[in-house]
Amino acid sequence: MSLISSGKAFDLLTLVVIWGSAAYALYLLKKGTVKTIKTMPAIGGITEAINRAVETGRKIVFLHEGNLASRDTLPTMACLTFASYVAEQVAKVSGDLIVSITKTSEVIPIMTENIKTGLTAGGAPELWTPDMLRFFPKPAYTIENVGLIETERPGALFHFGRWAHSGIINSTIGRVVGAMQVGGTNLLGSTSYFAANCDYVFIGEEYFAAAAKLSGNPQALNSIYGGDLSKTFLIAVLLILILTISFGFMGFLDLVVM
Amino acid sequence: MAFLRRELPLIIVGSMAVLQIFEYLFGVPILKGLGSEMRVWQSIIVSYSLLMGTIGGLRVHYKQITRRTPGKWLWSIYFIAFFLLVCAIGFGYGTSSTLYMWLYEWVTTNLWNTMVSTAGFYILYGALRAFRARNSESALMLIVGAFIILQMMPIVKVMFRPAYDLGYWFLNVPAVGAQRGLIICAGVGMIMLTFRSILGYERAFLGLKVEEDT
Repeated sequence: MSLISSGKAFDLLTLVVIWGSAAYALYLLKKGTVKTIKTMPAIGGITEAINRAVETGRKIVFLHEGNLASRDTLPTMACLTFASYVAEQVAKVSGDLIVSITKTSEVIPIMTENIKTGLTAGGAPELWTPDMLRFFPKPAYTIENVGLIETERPGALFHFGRWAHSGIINSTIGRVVGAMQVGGTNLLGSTSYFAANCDYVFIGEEYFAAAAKLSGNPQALNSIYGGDLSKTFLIAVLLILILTISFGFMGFLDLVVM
Repeated sequence: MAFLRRELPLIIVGSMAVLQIFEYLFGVPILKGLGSEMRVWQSIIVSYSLLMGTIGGLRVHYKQITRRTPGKWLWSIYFIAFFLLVCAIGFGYGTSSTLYMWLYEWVTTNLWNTMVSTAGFYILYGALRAFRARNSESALMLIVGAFIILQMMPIVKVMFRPAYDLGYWFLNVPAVGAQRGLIICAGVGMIMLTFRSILGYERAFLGLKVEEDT
């Protein structure tokens, strides 16, 4: 019996290369090299939206979709960083924040801690109330979010997490009520919905890179650099595959799927 | 106390993440057993957290009723009444009973399907907003989008085949290539986040900021 599961050898190699790149990036950090991430307009858009909402006397609504199970976990963890940052910016201008948690409830205590931490960092921990968090379970969370947007009519609307079909619905309603919107998700299909309706959007890896930048964590910033290094390995593998398959040599492909 | 709040959760997260990864990569029976057991624990914890979410939701609606919030308090009464009704049926007749299943299959499921089906109309509304030739890039997107929509129409395939072929090519060659590039990059970003979580550098799920770590 082989130690490595069938067809997973290349997965293991890729994981080792990517984690090796991350480890190298952390080694650079220990040497004193802190990498920086380029300025993303959407990060400034978050602050702009919050300030605009407070100036117009309207609320700020933060919508999260996802849970801490399987493929939703990592986008949700990145979303927590955005939630903390939004709460911090809201605290600085004494805004009125509502956070919507959907699908499943295990995110509630973690989101509560992040909102409280953000409000404290912004200098207004007294803004926290339990009513700030709204939990909308499956399967009604889409219509509940629509109802929340239509009744509260926010000036700023944020969509973060692993958004599926409800992304287009919520962002369209947000556009109808005149909210300034910022969206971010790892799903490509939902990114196109946000690109159509939101004023600012994080595309693809920008979502995770922005979360790393907003966390202020130097390890997170350097690990993004490590990810860029590992992409050179992936590009090299793809180029070799393209060339070998184009010339009829399938040996390398057989090696990859081994 | 700091250990319970900071180090212990990080140890649990790191060890469980490594267990799940090793279960996927290595064909060791004991890893499979541990991984499936862990997923059972996860289901139990999620069930308990559902109770917390339910209590929070009921509190919000109760406050809207007591404060007579205009436009909301009647709907909150409706919500709590239906909640109590479903709970009574579930506890009284069981969640496998005909009445409970009827409520789920013929009320909840249909409402959910209705909501999902309206997404198509919202996509059309978003497309009407997005497909505007404001500059050269948006004009190009408009032209490509038009061909992609045309190739989905069977009559175009019959009456004007080149439009269908061009739309098909746009959809299956450059679009797929770009999608896969973005998916790979997002995937690498997620692997990096996993790496940071395992090593304990990612603290967002603890509600800690970087300054609290030092």
